[in-house]
Amino acid sequence: MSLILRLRTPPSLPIEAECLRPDTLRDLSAAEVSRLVAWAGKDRVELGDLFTVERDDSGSADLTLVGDLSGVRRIGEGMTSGGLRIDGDAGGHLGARMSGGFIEVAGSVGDWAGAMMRDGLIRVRGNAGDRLGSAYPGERLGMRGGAILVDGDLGANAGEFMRRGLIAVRGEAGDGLGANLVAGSILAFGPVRGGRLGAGMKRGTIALFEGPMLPFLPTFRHACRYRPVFLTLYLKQLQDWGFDVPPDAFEAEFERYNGDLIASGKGEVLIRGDRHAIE
Amino acid sequence: MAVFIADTFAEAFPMTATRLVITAETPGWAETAARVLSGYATSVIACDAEAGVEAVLDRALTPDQRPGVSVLLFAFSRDALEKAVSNRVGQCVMTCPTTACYNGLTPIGEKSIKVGGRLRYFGDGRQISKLLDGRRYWRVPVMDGEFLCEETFGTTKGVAGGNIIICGNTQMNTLGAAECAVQAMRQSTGVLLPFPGGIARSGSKVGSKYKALRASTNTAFAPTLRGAVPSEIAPGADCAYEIVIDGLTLEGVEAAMAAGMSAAARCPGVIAITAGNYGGKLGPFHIRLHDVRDRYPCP
Repeated sequence: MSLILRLRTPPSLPIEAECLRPDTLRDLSAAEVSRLVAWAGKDRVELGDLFTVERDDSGSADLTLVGDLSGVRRIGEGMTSGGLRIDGDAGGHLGARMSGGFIEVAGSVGDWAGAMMRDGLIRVRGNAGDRLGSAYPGERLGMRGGAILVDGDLGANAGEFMRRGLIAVRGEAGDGLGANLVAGSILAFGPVRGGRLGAGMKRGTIALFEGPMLPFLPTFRHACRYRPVFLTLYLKQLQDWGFDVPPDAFEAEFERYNGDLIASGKGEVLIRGDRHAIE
Repeated sequence: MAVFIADTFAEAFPMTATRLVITAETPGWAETAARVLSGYATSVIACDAEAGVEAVLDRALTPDQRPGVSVLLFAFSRDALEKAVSNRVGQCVMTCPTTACYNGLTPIGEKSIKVGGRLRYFGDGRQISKLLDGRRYWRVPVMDGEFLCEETFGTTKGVAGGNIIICGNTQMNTLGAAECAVQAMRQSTGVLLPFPGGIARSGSKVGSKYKALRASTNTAFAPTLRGAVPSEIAPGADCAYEIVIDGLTLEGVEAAMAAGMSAAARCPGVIAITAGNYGGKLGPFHIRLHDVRDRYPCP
């Protein structure tokens, strides 16, 4: 049985509602959920003041949120299991520190989505803000597992200090994609508009299927053109998750660049060979 | 004349098994790697494993969507299997152009072996690990790009030593019948016929007059010794061939034996079909020929 929360009116103050996670709400009644506490600015509010709460047999996820939740932050933060569906936009820090379960957002999400996550799956059908899958200020490492899939565009500094996991984006990616990447994989199927691609990356993979259309940092060195077989595994996994990938990408060759040489130089940027436009 | 099916049993043993999926840019290179990997792997009497090609795989069925081949390997223990598999993959698959190697037994339980996890060191520190959906892969830089190998492979307790012995009137007739049996048996998945072409002409018995030898020729089925030693080769038969079957499951071995008996029995010159055993004292699996014939009817 699914729990469905419908936003009564879009809030005028930012709401912090880290209690909105399917694993902890699973066994609560609608009345109990209504009495849970969130923060509207500096004030405590009950969820029942913000949402109508009901249980429904028809829901496909454990927890469904309906409405324009772009002002509601920390949804799904720390969740460990279960399914969370958002029929609308979501605010910042969606799924931050999560370690299991899945989140699907029909709209767009704010900054810091999936920050510090350890496992689980986040699917954003719209756009994502900055710092997707990144480390919080002061932290050594960001995302350490799981996957984040973005159908729309991506803001700046996605995957910064990422340690493990997968980020895939179909739209445009912004500045600083994979900056300070420690490990893990970022697959960008749209154009990468920003600079500082992979700046400071130690290891890990940034694969570009459209090409960056911008010069690399001078601390990356071209290695060769080849067919990285491992990418096919990722493409197949993305297809299994329902994420569209270009069919001709499976047999594509890629130009490989090693870097960032100011770090360990064991990272790689792969650019699809027939879209290579680096001068 | 009806073929006599002996009322006897094949005595089989548990052995640790695994399945590899080898892919390459072309079917030819995948098959080359698989055949080289499964060479010199007929019997654990003197080989480190028993191995052979299970099936050719369409690209749609392989992890990386390239042409592939599945290979089965059996060994006495998990440690022995791990050593054999990693040595063979390292020397025969990694060396072969464009190949990759994946685990073919899922889910991977606690009883697993490390393959890519052992071969990764060939990368001399430049190997790359990728973890995807709980499975770890190693990318080893090599001269034609990368060798991709899964870190951990699943194992299972398989059954080794299922067998049938086909007795026929002439060498050519008996061989033809054995070839038909092999063709029928190879329609099954999960089974391996480890001997050359699936057929053993030098079936063995336990022990020898020479203390250094663990096994020696199966004198009871050697037609040239009839009259000089106790013989079990059917009267009128001047030749016998043995087909040994290893399988991931007992049912797989039984079904393969039934298919082989049925195919051989339809061939000209076959006089009797029997099986080899050790009096039931060694192996826990006793596969009775009449029983599998009845339980696995073949057209």
